[in-house]
Parts: sequence; structure tokens; C-alpha cells
Amino acid sequence: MLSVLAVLACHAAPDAGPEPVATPWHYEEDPSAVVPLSGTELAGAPDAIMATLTGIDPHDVYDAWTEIGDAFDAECPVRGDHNGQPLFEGDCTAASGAAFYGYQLVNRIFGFWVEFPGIDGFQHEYSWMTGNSRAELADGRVVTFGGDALWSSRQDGDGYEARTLYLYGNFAWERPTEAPAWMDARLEVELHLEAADLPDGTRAVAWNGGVTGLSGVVTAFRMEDLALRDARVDDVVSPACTLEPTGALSFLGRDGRWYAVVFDEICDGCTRVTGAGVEQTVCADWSPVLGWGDSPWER
Amino acid sequence: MGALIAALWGCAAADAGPDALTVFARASLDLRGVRPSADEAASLLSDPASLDARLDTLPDDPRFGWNLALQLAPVWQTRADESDAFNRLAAVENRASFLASIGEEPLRLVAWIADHDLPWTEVVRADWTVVDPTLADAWPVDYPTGATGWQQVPYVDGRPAAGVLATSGLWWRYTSTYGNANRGRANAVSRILLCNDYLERPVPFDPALDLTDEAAVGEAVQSNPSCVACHAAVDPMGAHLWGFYAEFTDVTGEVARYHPEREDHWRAFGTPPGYFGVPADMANPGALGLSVAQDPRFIQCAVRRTWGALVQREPQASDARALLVHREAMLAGGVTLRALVRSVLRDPAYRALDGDAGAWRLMAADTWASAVEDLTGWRFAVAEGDVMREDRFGVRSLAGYVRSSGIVPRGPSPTQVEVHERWAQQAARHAARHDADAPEDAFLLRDVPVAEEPDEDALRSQIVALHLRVLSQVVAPDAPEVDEELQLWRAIVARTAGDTVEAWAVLIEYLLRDPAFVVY
Repeated sequence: MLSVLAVLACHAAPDAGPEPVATPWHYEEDPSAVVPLSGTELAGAPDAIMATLTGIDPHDVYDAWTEIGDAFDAECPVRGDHNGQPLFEGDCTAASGAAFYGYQLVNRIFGFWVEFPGIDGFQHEYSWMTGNSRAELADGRVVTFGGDALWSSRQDGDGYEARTLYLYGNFAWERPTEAPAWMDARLEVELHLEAADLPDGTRAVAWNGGVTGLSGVVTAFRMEDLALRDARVDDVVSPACTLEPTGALSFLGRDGRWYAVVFDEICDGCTRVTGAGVEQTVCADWSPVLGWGDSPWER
Repeated sequence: MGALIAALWGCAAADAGPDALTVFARASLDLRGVRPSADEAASLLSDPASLDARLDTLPDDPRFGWNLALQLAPVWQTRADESDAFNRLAAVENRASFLASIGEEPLRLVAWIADHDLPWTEVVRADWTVVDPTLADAWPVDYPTGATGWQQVPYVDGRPAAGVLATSGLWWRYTSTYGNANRGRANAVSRILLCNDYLERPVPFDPALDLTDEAAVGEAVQSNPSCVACHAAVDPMGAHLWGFYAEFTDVTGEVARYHPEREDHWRAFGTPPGYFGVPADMANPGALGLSVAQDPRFIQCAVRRTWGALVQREPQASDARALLVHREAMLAGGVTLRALVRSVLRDPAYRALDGDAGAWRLMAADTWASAVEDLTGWRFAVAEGDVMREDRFGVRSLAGYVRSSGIVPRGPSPTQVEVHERWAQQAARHAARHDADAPEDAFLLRDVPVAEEPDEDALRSQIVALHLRVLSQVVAPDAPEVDEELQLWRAIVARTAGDTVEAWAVLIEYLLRDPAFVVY
């Protein structure tokens, strides 16, 4: 008994005092802290997405690589071969003071005839780079490359032209003069475009993937078979419509909420945008998805 | 009678100067990474009743947050730089430093919450992270121009406000294959923040299930009772995390960034995001953080983890009342770690002394390094950086760093002893030479002229002061250990033809290697 008293007298907490009662745990956040996009912002979202989509040119990545190439020498980066493709590796510093870290595979071929079963044709351009590298030039220019950049355009003998874009990763180009906006903004890109021009002059285009890291009302968007076609390509696809895509498009608003663009059966360019408790009809010009010349970015 | 004596002894501990100093030293090492200064020790010894008030000040120290985070690090297990993540670093200059910083990012966020007295809910609700310039080079963050050190910054890639659940550092550590569908990550969240580890559940596996058959496994996790028991909760949590899924795991930027366009990859597995049976708000990519913050287990787990890290044992059923007291203190204090820690510091389990169960704990590797640096000014670094920050170039594990549980082992490993010996050797020489060269700014030898042989009283006085500063130990000038150390000092002077600096170095090393230094 004495020992019990002694212990109780010794430490005031937590063994002493009345039996504690658990306070219920509630955590709530003020819903008004999240302000959904306004009607005007929702109406402008498709245009913002179209502008981003058509502003991302894989040739910018190749141009950046070409530009920094002048700062390197025969020793740095170390040249190698990987399955017949030129391989550049670091870590090293060239005589110019340019430092290279990582690895880079570069394979660009222009104007050649390909012969494979079923796909014989003239390849106008096949540009593919893949790697994980960073080049820092003495004058402050920096190119960061992480992922894949593929652009391919090919024409067969029957007037059918196919183009493929596969741009996946993050690419940044820091330079004193203006860099391409999408590389300057360090956008995270995951784009896959398949486009077909048919002998009768019509075109079908399908986009997949998305873009992240945007500033503005739309901070990211994703597409799943976002397609426009101005001809019946085959018996499976839906009727031609050049005003409104099929497929799925959603975007992340600056409010941190996802919004879905719901395309309907009516070919009028007007869609429903839903999310964060709001729903609104938005009419937009979707023609940039389809209406381009040799490439979506119209170089 | 024995119990009565023990109880009275334990009671006296709160009032006796040396025992108060022991408790304060323990808290100081845990929360500041250093032993009490000479002034603090003297002041406490003259007024042992001020112990509680002095302990209350420790969470206000600028070193509090990071040292608390280090105490919790073995639970988070993010400082795991020996993983295959090294392959992703091709485009990074200082890979060792980068890896160390990655592992520290979630812990730095925890430290920031602690230091700034923010509610613990921020750990899953913050719209910011904490990075250093190394991470700022690779992470999509807005790091202030000209700033240095760890800074609170926002991510700029549109990721949701979800605290550590939206840090690249956490998901670099806890990766997922496509087929695993973030289940391992979900369990990490559940284990760390809810104290609910699915891997510890006794699961009776169906022997008829062919684990090599992907389709069969996919079906089983949705229908087989043995599997559903866990997967019904794990899979919807994992479905929240597709935005942090890395397709190309060998690309730095790929792993560093948030990928909102992948948020709906869960559709391939058929299980939508949810939280223990509650469907998620599909429009809100930060829904998981909100759900965790609202979970009653979230606060309970914070108490349990913090108590376990400080008391250095897993809570038992008999500790339930104490944990409840600490939980209430945390809530009353604005759900802050400071309020929680202040409460734990008053727990008799934390103040256990000789004769109490679990009285002593072995100094963790990080604490060893910071305590020795504070005493001697010496820190072990190589070209790649601080050797206690990581393992690839460092000696953190060799020095006893524990990564797999919250509890530091009771006994040192042979390699730990070896590292401590060499470390103490270097640190002691650094301190003795420094104190000889700059007596006005001495680390340890403030009572004697280091390069001369003082009289015996001064020698004894200095040794007593060393015991107090290095070991937080009160000894009398004529105590047997002081006699022995005096003999040692004189023997070294004799052997080195009068090199008193070396004699002090040996004596400091002797004290740093004393078990009483690493057991506290």
C-alpha cells in the first residue's frame, strides 16, 4: 500500500488523476476553401488544352540536342553504340566546360525507303531520342532530357500517309534566348498521336495521353482516344465529324479538381463539362485536333 | 519492503539532482541531439525541481523538429538509399547527396510541422513540401532564388495537397510495379500513419491458388476470402496513388513528377479509389489525405509512434491509459507534436531509471554523430558528403542506424563499437588540439591550460567537468574514477614525453568510448 502511495505521489501524470476520457476526433475542412472553376473558366478550358496540345513539338527536343552538341568534344560525352544506334554517355566535362551526365540514344534518319511486309513506303523522317541526361554548358544553358521523343512520318505508294508522335517524359531547355514555351515551362508530357491521311485527302487523328505542369485554369489534362475524323476510315469507327471529337477528355482545374468533358452524339462542338459539383455546356473549336498541315504544330 | 524501496527510489528520481540530470540529458539527446551544456547541467543540479519546466522548453529548440523526425525515421523507412533507385540518378551530379535528400524529404516535412507548431493533419493535408537545393534541382518545386538549406516550398506540377502522400521522396522510396497497383504503397501509408500493417496479419493462403497465374490472382483478390480480407481495403487505397506511378523507373524526372493523367489507371484493375469501404470523391486527387486525416486511428497512431520512438519500446496493453493521456494532451494542444512530446516527457515510462523496466536506451547513429559534434566540433565527412547521412558512401548502418523498426537495439553491434572507437579517436584529437589552440573558444577543456601540466586540483576539476559535460554524470573530485583517469592522463604524458594535448585527447576519447556515453 505504501509503495502504491509513494508512486502516486511521485509522478503526477499520466498514471494519476481521474480516468481520462477520449475526446472524439473530427477533422473537417471548409468546403468553401475550394472554389470551383467559374463558367467563364470552364468555357475557356478547351481552348487552353488545344493550344497546349498543338504547341508541343518534338523537334524542339532534337533542336536542343543539336544546339548543345557544339559545346561538346570527341571525349565528352563518351560515344558508344547500342544496337546500332549512337549512344552518348557521361559523367564528364568537355574542354569547353560543358558537363554531361547520364546517357542519351539519338537516332534520326531522313528520306529513306522502308521495306517491311505490309508497310513498304517512303519514310520522310524518323527521329527518335531516348535517355536520361542533363547537359550543363559553361554559358549557363542547360538541357534536361528524360524519356522518349519519337516523330515519324511515312508515305506508302498509294498516297496513304501516316504520322506517329510518341513523346513521353520531361524535357527542359534553359537558355538566354527564348526557349520553346513548353520546354521552358518544364511540362510533363505523355503524348501519343496517330494520324492518317487517306488518298482521298481526308484525315483521321487520335490522341492519347496527357500533359502535366500547366499554369492557368487547366493544370493538367488527359485524353483517351480523343479522335476527330473527316472521313469514314473503316467500318468500325463512328461517322465522320470534324466539329466534335469522340473519346474521353478530362482536365485538372486550378482548384485541384478533375473535370470531365463529355462528348455527345450531336456533331456540333458543344459538350458538357462536369466536375466539382458543377455542370456546364461548353462550345469550343476543336479543329486544332485535326486541322493541321504536315504536323500539329505547323512548323 | 523491496518494492517500497524501489518505489521511493523512483519517487526520489524526480527530485534528486543527478537523476533529474539523467532524465534531462535523455530528453536533450532525443530532441536536440546533444547532451546538456555545462551551464544547463549546473543549473539543473542546483534546482532539480525545475526539471519539468526545463523539459517543456526542449520542443522550442530549433533542433527539435529534425531530431524528432530522426527518432521517427525507422518507422518511415525512407532513408533507404541502398535501393535500386541509384539507377535513376544518371542525370544527377552528386548522387550520394541526392539520395540522402530524397530519403529525408518526408522526414523534413514532419520536422517542419513539429518546428512550426502546425497541426499533425498537415502531414497528409499540406500543399507544400520541404526540400534542399539538391532536391530543388530535380523536383518540380518553386525553390526561392538565393535561398539555402531546407525550405518550405510548393510543388508546381499540379499535385494535390496531401502532405507526404504527395511527395516524390515518399514514392521514390515506396515504388510500385504496374501489376502491384500501388498496394505496397497503400500498406506503407496504413502502416506509418494508421499503425495498421497488413503484412503483419496472419493470412491463411489458399494453397490451391496459383500465384504465378496473374489472372487467377487478380480474380482471387476480389473473391477469395483469404485475399479479400486485406485487399478489400488495400486495393482502393492503392487506387488513389496512380498519379505517382512511374512508367520509366530509370528516368529521374519520371519518378520525380506527379502524373495526373495516370490517375485513372485503376480502371485496368477494376477497383476504384476508396477508403475502408467509403468511395472516394473521384474529382479530388487529394482525397486519400483527407480520408487519412479524418480517420480516428490517425491521431492514435501519431501518439503510439511518438511514444514508441521516445520510450524506445512498443506500447503494451498496460500503456493504454498513458497513451490516452498523451492523445488528449495532443488534441488540447492544437493537435501538435510539441504538445504530444511535452506530455510524453512527463510519462514515468520515459523517465525510467535504474531498477525500472526498459530504463536505458542505446544512442542511435544520428544522435551519436550530433552529440559528438556538439562536444568536439568534429563531424565525419568525405567528398560525397556527411557519412552519417547515407550508406553508399557513408557508415550510417555500420554506426548502428536502424531502419526497420522504431526501436533501437539494446546492445551495440561489433561494427558499431568499431565505428564509435575510430570516430571517438578522431573527434577527441580534434577537440584537444582545438582547445589548445583556441582556449577562449574551447569545446571541453575550459578549466586548464591544455598545453601545460596543471596542478592536481585543476586536473581533477577538469575531469569532473568532463564527466558532467560528456557523460552528464556527477562525480566528486576524489571519486575512484577520477583517480583512475588522473592516472591515465599522467601515464600518457609520461609516455609521450610531456604531450599534455595528447593526454587530454586520450582522456576525451576514453570518455566518448565509455558505455555511459552511448547508453542514456
